[in-house]
Amino acid sequence: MKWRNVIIAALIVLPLIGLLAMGFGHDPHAVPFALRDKPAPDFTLRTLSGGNMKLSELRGKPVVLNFWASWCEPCKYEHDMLQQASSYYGESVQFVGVVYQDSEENVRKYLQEHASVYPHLLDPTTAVAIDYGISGVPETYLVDKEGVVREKSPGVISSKELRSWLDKRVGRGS
Amino acid sequence: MSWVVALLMLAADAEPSARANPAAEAEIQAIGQRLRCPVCQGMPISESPSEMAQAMMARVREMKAEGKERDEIIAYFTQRYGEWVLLEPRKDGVLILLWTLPPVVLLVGLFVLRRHVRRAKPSVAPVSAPVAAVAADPYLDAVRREVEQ
Amino acid sequence: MHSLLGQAAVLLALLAASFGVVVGYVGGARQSQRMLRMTENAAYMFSAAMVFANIVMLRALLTHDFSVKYVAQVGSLASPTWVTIVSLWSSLEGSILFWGAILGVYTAAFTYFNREAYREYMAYALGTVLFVAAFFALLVAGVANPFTAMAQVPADGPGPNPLLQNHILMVIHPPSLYLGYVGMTIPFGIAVAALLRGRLSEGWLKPLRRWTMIPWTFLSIGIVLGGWWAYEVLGWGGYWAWDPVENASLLPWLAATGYLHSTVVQERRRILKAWTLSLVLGAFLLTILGTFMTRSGVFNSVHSFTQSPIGPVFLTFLALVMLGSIGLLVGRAHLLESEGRIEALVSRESAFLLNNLVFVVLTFTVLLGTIFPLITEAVRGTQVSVGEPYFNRMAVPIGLLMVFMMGVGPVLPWGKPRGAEVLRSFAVPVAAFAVVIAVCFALGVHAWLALFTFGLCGFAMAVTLREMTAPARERQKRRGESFFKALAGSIGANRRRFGGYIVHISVIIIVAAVSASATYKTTTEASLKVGDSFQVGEYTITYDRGGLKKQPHRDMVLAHMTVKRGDEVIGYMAPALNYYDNQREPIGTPDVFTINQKDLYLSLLSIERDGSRIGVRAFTLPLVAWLWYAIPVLAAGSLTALWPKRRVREATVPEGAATT
Repeated sequence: MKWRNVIIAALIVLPLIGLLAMGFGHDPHAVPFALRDKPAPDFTLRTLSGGNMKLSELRGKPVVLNFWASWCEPCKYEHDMLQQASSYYGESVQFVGVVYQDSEENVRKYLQEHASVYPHLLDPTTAVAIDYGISGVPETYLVDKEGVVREKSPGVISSKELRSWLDKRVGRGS
Repeated sequence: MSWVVALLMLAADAEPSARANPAAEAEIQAIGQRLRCPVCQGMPISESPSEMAQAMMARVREMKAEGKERDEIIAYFTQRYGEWVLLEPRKDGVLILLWTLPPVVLLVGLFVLRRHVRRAKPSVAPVSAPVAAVAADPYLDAVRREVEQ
Repeated sequence: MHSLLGQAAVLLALLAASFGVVVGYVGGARQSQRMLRMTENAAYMFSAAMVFANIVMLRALLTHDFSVKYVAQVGSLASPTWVTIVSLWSSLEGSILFWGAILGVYTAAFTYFNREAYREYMAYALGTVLFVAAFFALLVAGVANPFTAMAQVPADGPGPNPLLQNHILMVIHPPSLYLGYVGMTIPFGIAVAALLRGRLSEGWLKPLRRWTMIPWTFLSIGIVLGGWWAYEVLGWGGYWAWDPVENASLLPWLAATGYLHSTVVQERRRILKAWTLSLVLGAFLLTILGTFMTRSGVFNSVHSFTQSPIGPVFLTFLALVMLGSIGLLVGRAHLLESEGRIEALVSRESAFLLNNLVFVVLTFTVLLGTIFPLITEAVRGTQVSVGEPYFNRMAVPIGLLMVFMMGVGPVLPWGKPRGAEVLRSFAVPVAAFAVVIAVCFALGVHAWLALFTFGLCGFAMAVTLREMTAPARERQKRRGESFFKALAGSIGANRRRFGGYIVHISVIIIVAAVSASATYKTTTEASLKVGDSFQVGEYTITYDRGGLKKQPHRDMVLAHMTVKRGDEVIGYMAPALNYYDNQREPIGTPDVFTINQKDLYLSLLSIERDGSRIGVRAFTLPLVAWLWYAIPVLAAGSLTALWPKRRVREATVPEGAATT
């Protein structure tokens, strides 16, 4: 009777504590990356400079999709790094900014002050962001040259992470 | 702020100001009820006032207008956000435990309870005091006893 | 100055508590009166030091002393005074400090009221309470130290989380919840003392009941107030979302409620001693688990504070207390054997057992749902969500069973009832069930679940009212008193029972309100230009104009609306969005208008800067206000049960004297 109780109690308590301890390992606000190794949802969006851009037409080289907004401080933080990376990889990688829940006016103002070497797309209905499963900005995705989503970085991306995505996919920058 | 307006105009253009078809709207709300808002955590998109949730609701509306069924719409969001987006978890794999354990605990509890009472039953003489009632109305008698206690 | 003084006070509290733990346990084992006195003094010392530390922090907040880390984190020169006071518990470190103060007050009160009684147990009980106290003092002194001095003193701070400074209810909701949470430490101490002594005398049950009832009352009120706060602030037209933090407050409540019922049987029939103590230990463990959930960042939640280093420390404490409790229960269970027996399956005893089972099953279900995302993540590495639909589906049938039991239990006599008599006494309640359903159907309630729920509420209400008045009528008959005099007399003769029934009434009100508002909630969304109207049920709502109210800590953008029924203007509403400096997404302030027991609830979704166009969501929810009406009823019931009898002191003294 006594030992049975001890065993039952241990069976309840130990896994519970273990589970809670494991809970520390991860960020409770992380939303899963469900598109990994799935075909990238295609879209056609208007670029800031006028004209449209269609994702599937970029096939043939890896595309880095960076979702951002001018009201988002961390996005500004990674802006310069992304510019440098884009220059570094040159023609071999296409960088694209997608504006998330922000006005064209604010984005233009921001980009006048902080030049960008790659195009930025407007997503006024947030439809593309939903297509990619965005849960906040910044978020960065890698679509490979076959048009498959390979990587996701929620939050600010580091140059190291970006390089680990790209270096193995392209010969070093031009 | 003006992009919020753009969003609203879009919604407004699609439908008249107060949403028209109540049956379709109820279905849209029911779908929204099952999907978790990614920015506010833990709240369905139909209830969250956040912009992201509103945009997702707009997408649900759009898909519904395209003639998509509930399952297709839910599958669409699951492909993007994983099972995480479903506020009501599925009933497969480990998740079966989630649905079956509570009733199992209830049944086991009932069984133990039943055995407890039955085992106690054959006791020859009741240990504790006043049970035998001889009054005309046992209910009132019980009340009386409790008043007096 | 504040920094130094605060840290000194916390250290003193830690020392006093640690000393009390050692002296308390040793004194308990030796049954030494001298050591018991020392433990009591340590308890007073801990309380004084903790309360003092809180006063220091409050003063630092009010004088905007930004050299104190916590003030620099949550203080702001722009905040109104009430927000500054609220910020004492609005953020992690402060809330733990505040926790310490409440524990201090409880500890001092517990020590003082039992200074002459229960000598046999008090040293163990105080030692245990001070063990918990030492843990919290350790947190405040170490990983969650709010008093750390800032190397660089900022000129101003960001102010507390906007969500938490948005409504005046934040002044009473968290303290009420904390009073409930923290207070569970005292019954825990009492139960542990009983286990350590290896016996549970009738006398020791009395403080156990009383000191559980007090935090239980605060917890109940705190939970309902939490719903009210969510309703008034979050803007989604609901009051309960099965959020992990809400669940965290519900779990200890369920366990404690189970205890309050099982203690009745234990008192009456001398059975279930070990079980009753387990529920008390469980309630305390669940408060610690709940605090861990809220404070550690393991769970997703609207309220969750940011990731913090206190998680591992808390988890260690939780593991320690859990294993200790189980060890004690297993080791001492044989000393708590039942003395009585249950004689019949259909009896009051069995009803109480079933009630306890139902409470435990619900506790288990809520706990399972709350932690299940962690389980799937561990087992198959995918993230799932367990949300409202799951909890509603599981909790509704269990909740209905509870209401049913609430009606059945009191009708069944103790012991071995006779079948026919029992059946006869169900006639009136069953008739009430049928009548309520018929009336509701006639009034247009056609949803079967709502009908059934209302019927059950009628059933339980009929039984409760009869149980409340029957003793009075009996007295009236036998003593020839007037009804009210007899009622007052019968209440006086059995306050606890009567108070319990009043609480039952408040629960029935809550169940009816939840059922009605969940079944008949309507949602309408609209996008309006100035002058546009939209229709919500029988009401026409017109957007008149936008407005701006500048407040020191925020800009409040309002949408002024007129509500009409037909051509008659019945009210004006102004839902708002608040823009805070430290946050991009605005936080809404919905507006609620109660007419004919129905809430019209407007939530502003967006507004053009010039106010020319708004997005708005309108809800109608019947009977929600009843939830808030239930609060005073519940409080009245608890107070009735808690009100001391004049002869309590005389009754306890001989007990204390006999055991010393």
